Amino acid sequence: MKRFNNHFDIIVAGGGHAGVEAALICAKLGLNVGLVTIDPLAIGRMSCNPSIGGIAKGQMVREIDVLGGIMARVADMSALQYKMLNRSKGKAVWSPRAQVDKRTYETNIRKLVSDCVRLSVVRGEAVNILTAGGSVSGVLLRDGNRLACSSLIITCGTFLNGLIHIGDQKTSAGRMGESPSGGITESLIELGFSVGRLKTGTPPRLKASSINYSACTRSEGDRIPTQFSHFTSSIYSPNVPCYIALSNPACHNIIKDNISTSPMFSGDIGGTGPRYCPSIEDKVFRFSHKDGHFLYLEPEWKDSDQVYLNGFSTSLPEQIQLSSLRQVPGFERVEFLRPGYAIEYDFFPPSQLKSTLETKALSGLFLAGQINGTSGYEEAAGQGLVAGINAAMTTFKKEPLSLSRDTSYLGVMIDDLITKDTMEPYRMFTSRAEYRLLLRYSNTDRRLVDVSQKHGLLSKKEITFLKTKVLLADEIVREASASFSPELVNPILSKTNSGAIKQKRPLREVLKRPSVSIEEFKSFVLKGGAPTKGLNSSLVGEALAEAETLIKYEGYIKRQTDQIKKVKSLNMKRIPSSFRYEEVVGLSSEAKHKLINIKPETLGQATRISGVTPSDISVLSVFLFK
Amino acid sequence: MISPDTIVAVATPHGFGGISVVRLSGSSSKNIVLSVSVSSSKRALSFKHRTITLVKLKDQNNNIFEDAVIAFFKAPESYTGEDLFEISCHGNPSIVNKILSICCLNGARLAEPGEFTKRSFLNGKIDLVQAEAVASLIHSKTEETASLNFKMLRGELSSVIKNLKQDLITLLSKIEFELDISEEDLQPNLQKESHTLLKSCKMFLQKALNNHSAYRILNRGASVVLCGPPNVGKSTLLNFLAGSDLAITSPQPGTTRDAIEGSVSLGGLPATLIDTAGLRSSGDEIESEGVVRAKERILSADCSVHLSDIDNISRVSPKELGKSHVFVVNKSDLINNKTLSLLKKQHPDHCFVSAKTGYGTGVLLDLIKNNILPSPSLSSSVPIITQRQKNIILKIQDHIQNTLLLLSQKEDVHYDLVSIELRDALIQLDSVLGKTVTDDILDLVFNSFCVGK
Repeated sequence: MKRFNNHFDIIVAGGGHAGVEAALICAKLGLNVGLVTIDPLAIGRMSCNPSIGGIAKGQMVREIDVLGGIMARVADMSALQYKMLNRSKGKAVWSPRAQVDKRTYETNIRKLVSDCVRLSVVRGEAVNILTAGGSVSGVLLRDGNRLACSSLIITCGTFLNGLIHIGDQKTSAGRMGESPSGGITESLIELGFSVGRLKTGTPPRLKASSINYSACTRSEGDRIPTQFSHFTSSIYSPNVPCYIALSNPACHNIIKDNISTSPMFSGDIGGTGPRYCPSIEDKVFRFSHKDGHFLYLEPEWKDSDQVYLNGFSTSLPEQIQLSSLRQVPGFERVEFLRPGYAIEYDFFPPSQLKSTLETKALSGLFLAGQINGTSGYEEAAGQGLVAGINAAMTTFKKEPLSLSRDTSYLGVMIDDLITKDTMEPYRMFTSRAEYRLLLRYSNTDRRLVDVSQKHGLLSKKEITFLKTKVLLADEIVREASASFSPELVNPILSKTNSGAIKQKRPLREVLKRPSVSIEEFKSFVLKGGAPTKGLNSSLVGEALAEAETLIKYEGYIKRQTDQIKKVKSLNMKRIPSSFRYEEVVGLSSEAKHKLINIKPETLGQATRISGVTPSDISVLSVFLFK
Repeated sequence: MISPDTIVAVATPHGFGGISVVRLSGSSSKNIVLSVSVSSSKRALSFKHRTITLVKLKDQNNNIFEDAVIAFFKAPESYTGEDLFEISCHGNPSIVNKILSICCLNGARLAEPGEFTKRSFLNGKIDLVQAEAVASLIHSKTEETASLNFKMLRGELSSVIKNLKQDLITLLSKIEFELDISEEDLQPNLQKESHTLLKSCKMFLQKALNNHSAYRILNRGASVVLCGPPNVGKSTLLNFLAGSDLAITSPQPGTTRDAIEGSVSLGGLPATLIDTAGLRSSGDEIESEGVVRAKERILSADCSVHLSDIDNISRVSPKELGKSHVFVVNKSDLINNKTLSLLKKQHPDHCFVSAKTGYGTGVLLDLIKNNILPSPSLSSSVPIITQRQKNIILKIQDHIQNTLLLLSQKEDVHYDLVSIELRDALIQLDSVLGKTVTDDILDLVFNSFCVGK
């Protein structure tokens, strides 16, 4: 038995967004952590778009904040502009997003990591998972060092056998070529895990000085920013603008003429790409009736000469990318700092994981981030955090953190990952959450503060602070139940062209009208300067908006809560692990195959497995409980 | 053992007849049939899919007691989706009972009502709407409803529901796209487009609902109440229309106290005519109770026929009218033709008859039918056949109505709420077909069956 060179409680392999969250939360919970990375300078790097949050993703960033993660705080420290998306489409889908200064962001992350006493950064490449007695015992590095640990969290992103495509050029992005003995992929395969392949793309980076901005549309952020972190005491946004250009038929024609040179079309790339974040080649072919697509010019950092061209993800040869873009007004003389490219990488289908993100097959081994087939910083960070918390809980022999679909997007994501097939990179959407109405950015504190407290993820002071805000929203709702006279209410109603009231009415009835906003009635519900107990104006405003949603959406919220109760009974119906699906007459063969593979713990989980239809569930429940 | 047991039941009506058929379904049905039958020819017994075999049936003591013809349907190509045998024997209850008990001795058990059809549903052979159609087809009272129920069974309502579902799914996917992807304004007409589509869905469902009440009447027959003041000849009219002396008639007012029923055909639609106590205030306790009951009857009937005397043509207060109503003036034989035409002109909404001579009764029957069943007739469109289906369609209508309200907002449209309404409507649509059903609903549906189906 070879000796170990160093001992840690937890080892995290990979220093991206998943790895950083995993490592920092474990250290915060009191464990010694080794963070293994090839390039310590790239820790916390935003390798793709210069923004954090977005539709459904902004909600996840908030959840990360309440569960003791750092992404929200660092985003607030590094923001260039804030924008609340979906503002006109219903309160439940309001989604915060920030353009972020990439350099400031990674500097801030690196500082958090280096300031963390119990966290050591180890420069190196993990290549082999070491086991003893059916569980993880450590990891072997490429340089021959052996590190011992009780839990190992692998978060190595697109690094596994990464292959970059630009036209017909292929560049190995990992270190696959260096050693025929391979790395983590081969080690996992040897341990019995099955592997798949995915692809994702990134657009070109433009030189700002080569762009004619006067031909583009200026797009500013919100004047009043919405902070990501509940704990950011004062929020400032320089409100740096983005710009929008519009592609045109001339640009599309060049892409069409050269489509055979795109490896995504020529069949050179075997991996499956995301449907939702399509390459410009995809867009031109799939939406061929559209004459133009929006191209967003996003600054990568303050005063940067590097511009991220959101909406033009591509794997066409560099020359074609350039010549097609030069057809677009504003881009006549555009130059690249880096062309767009596509990358293929290995992933491990996450149906091999438990809801704790620990692998079913090997105890002590956790997987998080792109290795699980997801895409996006926020998805990765959320998994890293959950994997870190659960690795720590395992070490302490405490109850694991299990997030449900009705309390968080993170719960939805993990449940989807472990029960559904991953056919393409998994990106979060609000429509993936069946209880979307309950998963608002503005009630994240209410949803998760108790579970955060239970697992000790935030300080006492922070927990108290979150509860204050929850209580404030409740107090506002209570205040709104009081009745007010027409003399007080009608002058405000007339300003919004809403019909007058004839007699004293509870304010909440008035607030249920679609055109009436609680902002107008602030002084009615925030009495005596308000119990704002240390909350800044931005958070008080959020409590107000939350109270308004609780009032306006009351009936719908109740409907979803009732549905949850119904489904809970399905989740209570446990399926014995010895249950023989083979013998159930009337199950479709696809359902049988899936059920045998995944072995759902409850009838509720069985309902969510892709390929298992409601009629399969009827049949199953008849046989199970009759 | 998970695979279900083998069930047996007699599929034909109980009693004596030419032949009776016993059905046997389940994984061990073949073994059971083999152990109760003996080959009629020299060859060994073997049952082939969709063929009939002549056998001799034997009891537990190996005594031959019956010749029978057995048809075999192999799983999954059978009514239940399981191995299914149909044993045709002589139509004698004691033989049938013997076959049932000998099958049970060999491992079968007596089927619950509707259990064959329930298995067919659980094995994915038919959906719930089709299962309901099976029950309705058996109980159809008219040719028109029988042909409708057969349409249901072929899946016509099911396919209509599926089309509606597809429309809603397409709309929902556009709304989800709007919520999750569309930062640029890719769907500028979404609000209008959704509105138009949902409006037409709403109208379609309303039509199906309207057909429901007509369908119900066609399927179970109509109830028609004869009412009016005492002594206007209600009982005489009943006797004339029903063609027999069902009700005691006399010149004495208040002769009829209990309701008396008679059957009559309204141009193919079976109807029950109900004669009631004359409506008047009376000191007689029994007669008063009769009047109270008569008023209840009027409200629950499909049509109320309000009679009055030719000498005293009376109006009825709207409160006392039923769902649909006909005004009739009796004893037209007491006046001459000239006076009659004059009265007819004065009372154009009244039908003049004579219960004594039969004058005008043909016109009256047509009038009643047209009142109960608005034309055009059902057969051209899709009705909803059961109360269960009706209740669900009403819920779907609610969701669609809510969505239309949300979409008619002048300011920002709450698409998050629109999505919830549409999802709830889709869940309900699935439950029409039985894609998502709880056990209690299943029991409710299949309990309305007779044993053996």
